[in-house]
Amino acid sequence: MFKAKRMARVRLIVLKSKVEPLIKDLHEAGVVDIRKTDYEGLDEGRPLTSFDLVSTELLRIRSALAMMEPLAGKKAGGSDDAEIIPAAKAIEEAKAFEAPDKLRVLNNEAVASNERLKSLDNEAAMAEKLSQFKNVDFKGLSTRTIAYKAGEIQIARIQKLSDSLERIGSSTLISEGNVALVLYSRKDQQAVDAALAETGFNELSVPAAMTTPSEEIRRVNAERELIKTKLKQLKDEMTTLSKNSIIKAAKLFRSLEVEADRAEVATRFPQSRFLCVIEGWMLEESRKTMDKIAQRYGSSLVVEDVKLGHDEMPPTVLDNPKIASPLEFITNSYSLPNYFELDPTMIYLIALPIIYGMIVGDVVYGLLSIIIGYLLMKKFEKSYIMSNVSKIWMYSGVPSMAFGLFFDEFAGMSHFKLAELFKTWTGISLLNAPLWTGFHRMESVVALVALSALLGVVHLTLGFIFGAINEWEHNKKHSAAKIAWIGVEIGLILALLPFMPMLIPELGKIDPGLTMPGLVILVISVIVIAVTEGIIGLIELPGLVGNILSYSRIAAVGIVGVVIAELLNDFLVPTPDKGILLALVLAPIFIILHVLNCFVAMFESLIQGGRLNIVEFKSKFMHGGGGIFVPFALYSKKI
Amino acid sequence: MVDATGGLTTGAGAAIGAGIAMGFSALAAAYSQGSLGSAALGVAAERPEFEKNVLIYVALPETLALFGFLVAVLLWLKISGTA
Repeated sequence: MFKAKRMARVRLIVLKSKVEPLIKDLHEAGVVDIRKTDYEGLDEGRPLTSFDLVSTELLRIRSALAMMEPLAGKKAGGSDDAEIIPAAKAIEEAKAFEAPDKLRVLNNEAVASNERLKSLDNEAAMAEKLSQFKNVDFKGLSTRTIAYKAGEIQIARIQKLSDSLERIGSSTLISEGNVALVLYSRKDQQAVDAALAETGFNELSVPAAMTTPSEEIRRVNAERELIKTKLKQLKDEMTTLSKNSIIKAAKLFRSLEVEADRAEVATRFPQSRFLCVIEGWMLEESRKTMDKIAQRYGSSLVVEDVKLGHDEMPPTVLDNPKIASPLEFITNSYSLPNYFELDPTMIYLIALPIIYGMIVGDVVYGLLSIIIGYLLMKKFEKSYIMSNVSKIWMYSGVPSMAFGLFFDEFAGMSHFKLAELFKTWTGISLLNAPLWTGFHRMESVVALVALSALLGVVHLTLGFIFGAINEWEHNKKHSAAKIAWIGVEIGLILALLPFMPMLIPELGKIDPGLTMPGLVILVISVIVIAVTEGIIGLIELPGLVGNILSYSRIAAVGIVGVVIAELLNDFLVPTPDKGILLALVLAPIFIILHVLNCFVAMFESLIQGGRLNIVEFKSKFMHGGGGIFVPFALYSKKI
Repeated sequence: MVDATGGLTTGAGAAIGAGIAMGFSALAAAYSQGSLGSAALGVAAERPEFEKNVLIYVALPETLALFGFLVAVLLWLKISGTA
């Protein structure tokens, strides 16, 4: 529970002739995280011989699938856990599968038609511009001696162009708006070109076969219609082909992908002429599965345990009950503990809801926390972050309700005040006197801060105990230092306890004789820290006080929620004496604002509770840096 | 506000202190949360997988405002004679 799952490093020495079936078996079993290894004297790993063939077919099917999915729908390809076709059959079927090639041909045709459509759009736009010259047959304008140019020109420059052409002679200018047509003798080509360039004439490229503009527009429109019909036919053909082939394509794709994984994994292990040496991490609990695989290969396979190297760190697989899985999200997100460290998830499971509960501390808000958490969990079932956060909210609702009873808070009201409100509406008196006296947070702020700090001391002590256990194996001195830190905490508390009644009179008189033993424990602990951790330890001493005081945020955030709730209750509580109409208007506003206040409290409690666990608590014992276990498996998943 | 000698009463001094504690701590928290927030959004945009990690860091400066608030509440209760 507090330790990661036991891991073993295994070495599999297998005959090269058996490596392909072994890879297949390991892939299906999914028990070994195969790591890249090198051995002196052995060749570096190479992919299996099928790799090139599989990659080629995989690429072909993948590009076809990319075209099929938008046409047939992604879901039409079936689920990811569909049956896997054996490698040889998958390659054979992929080779014989004609749909990708047919689809590519149709797609190329569609692309070409779209290009032609764009070019026709340009031709239509050009013909539209020349529509002023409706009776001009452009095809007949060009002869052996006469040429023409049609184009756009700024209206203000037409006169200049006209003058220039007049000087050249043997040329004519016809203009309509900003479109001009220049007829000229071919022998004056150069002079005309210069005049046109000088006036910023933008020539339109008129097709040689164009007769009149209206005729050209008719021709273009007719061709456009033809192409659109063709495109529709092509799309229909592609859709039908996609719908008919996508299941097979998806199945082949998955099968080839699996085969590609298997062919590629061989690059991770070295080989000689006859042998391959596969090495990786395996969970101890998977040993039986591995034994079964080994039995199938008899003397062709040797499985042996590898002694852990000095700097080697096995990957971490957390071992917690299912109830703790939402809290594993926090452990995973903020540095995984390394293999040899204690896993703090179970402490998070207890500490986070308690801190959260103490901050929210309201029966109604606790209930809302469970309801909102449940609704969000259903809504964001597939989101890793939100589903876990929602579950934490649900868990934490229970201690919130418990603290709500302790603080006597029901949406910021005491249970008696709530009963009074009920009476104003129904006339039914549920209570004549309060059933119990709660610990009112607003009236006992100092005591609440002290209670928060006490929770901090307990939490940090747990952190130091974890730290002492973690360090025990590596360095006894560091382990002793962690215990000395607990001594500092105890010494401080004992030394200060007799002075506490000055701040919290409810505590009564506390024996002043506690101060001296407290100081003794404190001094001894500080000496131990100085010896074991040196000057750094001494510098960190005030930090411990800061860490403990940091827990007073529990009181602060809690009070913020109480103040807002009380303000809402003072100004917006709907009562019949305000008039039924006003009460009806106030009721939804009152409820919505309380829900909002609850949501803010939920968010803040999670963030601040998370922070106390991650920053204050975890830093007392965890180095982190744990590796992730990624077994070589079908659709490999991180564990 | 002012006592017989012309100085501030304890209550007035505490009220001003509460205001200063709350105001300046909130300003400090807002300033640092602004810088952290923009950096965190940058991280989240470039590396979405770290989105959840940066959230906690954005919340860290809130501590300043919370402690300011706590001091202000304690002073306020002192004025009202509750604590």
